[in-house]
Amino acid sequence: MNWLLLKNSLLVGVLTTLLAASFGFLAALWLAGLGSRWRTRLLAVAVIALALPPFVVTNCWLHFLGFAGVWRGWLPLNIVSLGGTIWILSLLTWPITLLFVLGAWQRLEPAQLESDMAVSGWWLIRGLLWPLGRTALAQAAVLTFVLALNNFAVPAILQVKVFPAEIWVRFNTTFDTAGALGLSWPLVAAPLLLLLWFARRDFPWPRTEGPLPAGLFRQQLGPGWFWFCGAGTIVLCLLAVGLPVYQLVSVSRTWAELPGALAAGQTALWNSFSLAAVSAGVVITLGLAAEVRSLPPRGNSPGSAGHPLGSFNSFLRWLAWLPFLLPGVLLGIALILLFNRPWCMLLYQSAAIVVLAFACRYLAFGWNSAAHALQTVDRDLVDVARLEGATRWQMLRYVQWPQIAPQAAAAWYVVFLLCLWDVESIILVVPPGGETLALRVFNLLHYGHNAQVNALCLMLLVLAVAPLAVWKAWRVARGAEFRTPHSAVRTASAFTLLLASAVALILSGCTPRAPSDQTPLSSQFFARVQIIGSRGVGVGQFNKPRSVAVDAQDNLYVVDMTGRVQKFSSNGVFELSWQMPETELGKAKGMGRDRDGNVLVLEPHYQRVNVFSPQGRLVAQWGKHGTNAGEFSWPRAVAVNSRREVLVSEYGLVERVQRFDARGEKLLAVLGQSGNGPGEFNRPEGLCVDAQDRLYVADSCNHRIQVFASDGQFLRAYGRPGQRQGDLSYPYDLCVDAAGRQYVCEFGNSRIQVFDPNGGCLEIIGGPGAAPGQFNNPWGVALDSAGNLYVADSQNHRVQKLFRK
Amino acid sequence: MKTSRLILIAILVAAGLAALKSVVANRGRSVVAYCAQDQTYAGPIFREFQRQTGIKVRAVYDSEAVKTVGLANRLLAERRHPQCDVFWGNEELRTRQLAAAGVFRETNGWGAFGYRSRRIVINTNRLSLAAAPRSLLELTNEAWRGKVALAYPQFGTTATYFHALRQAWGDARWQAWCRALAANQPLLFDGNSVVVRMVGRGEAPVGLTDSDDIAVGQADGLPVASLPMTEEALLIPNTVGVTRGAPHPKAAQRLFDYLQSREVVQRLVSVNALEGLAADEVATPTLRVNWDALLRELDRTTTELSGIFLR
Repeated sequence: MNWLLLKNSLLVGVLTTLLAASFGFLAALWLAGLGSRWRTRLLAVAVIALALPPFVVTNCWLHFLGFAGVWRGWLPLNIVSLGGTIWILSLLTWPITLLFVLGAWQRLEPAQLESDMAVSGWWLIRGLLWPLGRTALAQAAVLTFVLALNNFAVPAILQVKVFPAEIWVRFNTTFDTAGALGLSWPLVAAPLLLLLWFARRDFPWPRTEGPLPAGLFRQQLGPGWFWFCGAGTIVLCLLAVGLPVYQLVSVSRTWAELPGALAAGQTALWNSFSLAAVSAGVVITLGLAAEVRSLPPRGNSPGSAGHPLGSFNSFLRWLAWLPFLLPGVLLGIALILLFNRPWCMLLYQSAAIVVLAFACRYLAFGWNSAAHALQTVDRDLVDVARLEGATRWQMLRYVQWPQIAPQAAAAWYVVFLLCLWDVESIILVVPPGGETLALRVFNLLHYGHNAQVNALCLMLLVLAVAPLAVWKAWRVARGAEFRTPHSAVRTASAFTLLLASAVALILSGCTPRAPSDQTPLSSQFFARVQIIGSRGVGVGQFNKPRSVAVDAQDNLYVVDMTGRVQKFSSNGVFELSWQMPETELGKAKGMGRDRDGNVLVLEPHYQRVNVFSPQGRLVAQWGKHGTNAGEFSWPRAVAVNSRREVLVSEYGLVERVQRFDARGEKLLAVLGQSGNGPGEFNRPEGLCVDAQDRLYVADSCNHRIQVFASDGQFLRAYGRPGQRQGDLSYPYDLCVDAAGRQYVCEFGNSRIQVFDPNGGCLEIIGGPGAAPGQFNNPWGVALDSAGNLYVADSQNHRVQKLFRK
Repeated sequence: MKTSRLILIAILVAAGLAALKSVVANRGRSVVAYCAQDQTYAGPIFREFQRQTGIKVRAVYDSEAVKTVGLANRLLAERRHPQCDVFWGNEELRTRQLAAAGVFRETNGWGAFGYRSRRIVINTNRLSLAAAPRSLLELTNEAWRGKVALAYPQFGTTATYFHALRQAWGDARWQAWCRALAANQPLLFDGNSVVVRMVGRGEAPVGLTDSDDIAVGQADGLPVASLPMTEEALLIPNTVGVTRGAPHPKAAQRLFDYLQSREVVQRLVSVNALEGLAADEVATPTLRVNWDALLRELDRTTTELSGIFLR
């Protein structure tokens, strides 16, 4: 027994409980004063907070406050800590307190508040709300404590060593199941003792409406308290739900992966929904059956026994918590030992074993909720029915069920959510073909397929809210909310619009998402501009992109300062990336395409040319450091002519362009030298070959473009330093279209200038800035087969695509 | 209203029946596989096997639900009435433990194929190759305090690695290294893929992980690279075993042979699930393990690791 780990676990459990209870209480104070409609909506948000997978929330906060978090610069808090663990677990579990306490306050009657109007604000909380809600608060605290105590994944990521780790070592590394069970006793004993303490109390369930008008509650609570709690709750919802969901849906690759994940996971999707739904139904049915069976023919209503040991049913109900408190895998072992027998094969080899596992694990919820619900039934109606000779079934069917249906539905929904995410309970018993989305998520998580995991999490969130949508639709169809035909139409229309919007939103996300921000462009050649990527090191993000190239299929390739080559489809969707072999000395810069469809990438610091297939496989690498002819000294740009010859420019110790055969084995010509005369260079930063094999050189520090014939003879030059039309400031790259127009990328002027075949300026596009169509030190350009222009907008950390008119 | 309730009940019953439908397929033409390999790669291989042989593979995949390898525990728990025909493992220690427990058939019970390796991974934006640590001993230098990420040494391939290092270095040196590493405040995570993610994110510039996890990280665009293999690397093959008393022995044999075929191994290499076809093709001398001795010392080493790293 590692007492330090146990201490950590208890610390995490206790502090999480305190913080989550505070959050939940605060939220309950505000929701109790809201109207039914807003209360329902915020309860839905709370449900989403409960349904969010812990690793999604943890990764979200690591993104913001991890060692390399984006907020660390202005908020020096380290989420990788005990405090961070408590914070995240609290964000996951505060809805439990909210639901319990709100349910307890539904029993408030207007007379209690109206009896003394001076009891308001703090005195209302202290004198009435706290006494009424403290039992529910305690019960919620027990549940929160259990969940926090057993959690291993969140503390593990945040470097907090907790007690469950020792249990898993026993179970997983040395296969010591008995030892693992033995070690589990603190995780079981502590919550059981707490449950025993509160066993005689009931579990209140929240309702969207109680007898107390929200306006009266709000009035008595006072505007100060009400809006303070409101502000706190809104911030809490943003932090607990808004940020993680935003992180989940804002990654473009999540949506790109969604169709594939959906197609591959159809069976898992159906299994998840059906198994959770059926198991929740079984749990509620068993709970109701157990309570109804215990109904005395006459006399006391169920659950009225005082001490749990004074009522066998109550004792069993209390004992039903055991499977929930034990580690789920131990439950799985027990099921294997009991049911992996020849006469049980029909059960063991089917999905029924999964339903059985869920039912064992969550029976306590269903049973206790049934018990509580039946206690709230109108006693007078029960007595009348008994006097009329109603059987237990008739009592349930005609008297009790109409009154307890909403509570039973709420309990069913909670169990449904728990089953949806459960992996522990079923990992050892799930039959082949019975995989659920949750199992699939954890499998993919283990192997690092994060984008697919995010896509599956989205699917699970949709499944989580699906019953709410079905319930809402059913109520609308029943007309339960209608007071007038007009309101019926309005309600149905609003719901249809909401559902249609949700479907449209999901479907729009299901298609591979093209880059955003398509903006009209004022240009005689281009109609609009599109932004590809953003700043960062993630997939589809850039850190100072310097070169772009387009292959024969119009796929885009980009190199940046992360040392990657990223490939995008013609509509800007990320396809794959690969790392340059070496980046220690510097990053790649200079790209081209050969006649075989391969992508050429220069490494200036390694003095070589890399040839990659479109799939990122390195097929050739050549080049040697030196200033002699045929060697490289700071190669900057590469181009290929119609004869498959490779041209490479260099600057620094030498200023020249060299021409090689296709494999780089034979030097064919050397062009130029250092200087500013015709045919001389001062940092030839960009190269392009047109359809007539004329060579164009972006002679950047001479602020001009030079043009050479295919044999290397100097033809002409244009450009002069400046900012006016026809002037150039550090032209770093250019490309030539089929009509001979040149698109010059000016690093210094942060613009694209278009020249006619004779070097006359046709147009200036853009200027310094970050808006679409503006640039910040653009470094490279490339044209695709449709004449669309790609610009490596380096200091804006993006690529812009200008669409040809 | 009665109609709507009846419809609702009918939907629930249909859902219930569909959920409860037996998944016992045609016993004669199916084989049950418990698979610890990445489902993304294993699935197509199983489908190809079915296409070639007509035998349907009904697979159960592993999940890192709480910690690795629920399947090994399942195999042990089911060994009296095995449901699984073939176990496809992605590392050797667990398979040898199962073999020692008599889970596999007595003759030709299990085999190994392909390999991946334990590597040091670096974040190429934060660390150059020249500045990267070149040995495990360097990870205990103060320069790397709080900058090394690894999975919990008690679990998975990290555990296997630490066990192998103990055998190679001897008790004294190994204990000193472990304590020095623990004292250097490494970042411990609950999986090798998490290590790669954290290194790629920049939470730590250096990590200890598996080569296939590095490949996945690179494919995802993370700025990570692995250091070259050294004599401290451990090669980790995939394994496949036929359970003792397998329900479909003939189909199991066919799948057993197929998974060890060159076609499958090459396919796994091409997707970077494995590094190479066979361990003996590796030129660099790597750790050699006496598995019998390692298994004998398993409990003691695990207890010591818990004592050092779970404090």
